[in-house]
Amino acid sequence: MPGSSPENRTTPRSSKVQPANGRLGILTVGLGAVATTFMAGVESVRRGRSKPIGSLTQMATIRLGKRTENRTPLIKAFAPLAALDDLVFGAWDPIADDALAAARHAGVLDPRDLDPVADFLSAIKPMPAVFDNKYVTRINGQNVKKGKTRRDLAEQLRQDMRDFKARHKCDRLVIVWCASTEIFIKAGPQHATIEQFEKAMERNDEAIAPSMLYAYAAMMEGIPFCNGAPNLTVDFPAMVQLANDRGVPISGKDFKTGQTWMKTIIAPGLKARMLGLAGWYSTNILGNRDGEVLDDPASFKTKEESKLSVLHTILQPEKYPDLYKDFSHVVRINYYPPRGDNKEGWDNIDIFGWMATRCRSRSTSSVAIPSWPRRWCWTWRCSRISRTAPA
Amino acid sequence: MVLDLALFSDFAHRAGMKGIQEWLSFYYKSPMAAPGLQPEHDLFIQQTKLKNTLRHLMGEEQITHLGLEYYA
Repeated sequence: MPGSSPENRTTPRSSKVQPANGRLGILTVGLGAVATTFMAGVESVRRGRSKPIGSLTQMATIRLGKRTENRTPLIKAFAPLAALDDLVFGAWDPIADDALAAARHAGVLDPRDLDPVADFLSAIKPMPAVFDNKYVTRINGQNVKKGKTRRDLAEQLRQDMRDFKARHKCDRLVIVWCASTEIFIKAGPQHATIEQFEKAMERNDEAIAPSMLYAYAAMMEGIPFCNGAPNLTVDFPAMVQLANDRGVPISGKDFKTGQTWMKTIIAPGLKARMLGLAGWYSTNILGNRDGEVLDDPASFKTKEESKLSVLHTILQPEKYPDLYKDFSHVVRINYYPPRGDNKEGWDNIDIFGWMATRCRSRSTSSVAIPSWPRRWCWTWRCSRISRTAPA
Repeated sequence: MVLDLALFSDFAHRAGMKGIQEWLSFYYKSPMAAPGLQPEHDLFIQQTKLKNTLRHLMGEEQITHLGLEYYA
């Protein structure tokens, strides 16, 4: 794979992109807040009731050639992407609620958003999921597959994919993981090669998490897989190898939505101006199933690892010790039932500048679900709180 | 975000891409990258990479933002 990444190729590929003919089925693993908000939004746009705000494929333009050429088509006019009218939706979920019931339960969208697409959502019923309490401890679902081994379960998922494709007359499928965070697992020998992975599935090895079975089934069926959670899922050598062997695109991990999205905007800005960071404190409250799952320390560890790595990689404290050595980065997620899936995050950032002058910034955000924050509130207070350089 | 990822992944597949799609890092908190590569987290570099990958796959020139030709 080194050497094959896109930036290393300087000449355009000779292979033409195949046209987006026919229907594209989008299957989500999990039919909760994320998946139902996505499906409701697409249908609402198709019915002309809303605009696809927050979507690059629908709204963004791309500059081509020189600035004097004035060529800036919409991305969707430039690249042959599937049209919204050609999309069909399906899902797996351990809870049997249809997409309407699940969306109401999630509480992200109001009745006035859901009512006009209620008929559409109620027709989307989840297929039985591969689910194991051991990996997501706080959810109990009845809509669950039974199988002797993990291999059996993976084969059942493959059958689901084939059946869905045939039933809905799809030309192609894509799978997006929109389900809960699994407990923290490190890649082991079971994940090293395809052969070891398949053997581990057959002997029902506990190192093979349910999400990996979805990924495996997708690879075997030649279906691209996007991993919206921080689980390993497709991020281990055997699965990357399988994706390459089968010619399937994979991507991950963990959707970058509210708080981390802001971090990856602000941190490059601070670093670009060579401003120092003494500390960054982030806390979240969320109340639905996602919050309940993350209330479990093992699931939180998976999420925490994902959230913590961002600042270090951007700021490179090893290259800029005067600015970023030992900055304190704290991330908290608290389960707070009244919030439902309407998450909220608070951040406090302690920055220092010229002559070690301290500056503090605070922000609150309603994060994540409709993909972009609903409201932001910022306060910047730059003051000479301390003229001493932070320890 | 789910919509963009689904459409871009389907597009990548039709363009003959396989394995890790680093150009979709734009959408992820912990982007996957080739072994030994530091993942890119900076949203603006991620955006440039995403758009340049689209240009590349469609046979368009890469945009470097050098722009000296306008002052020649």
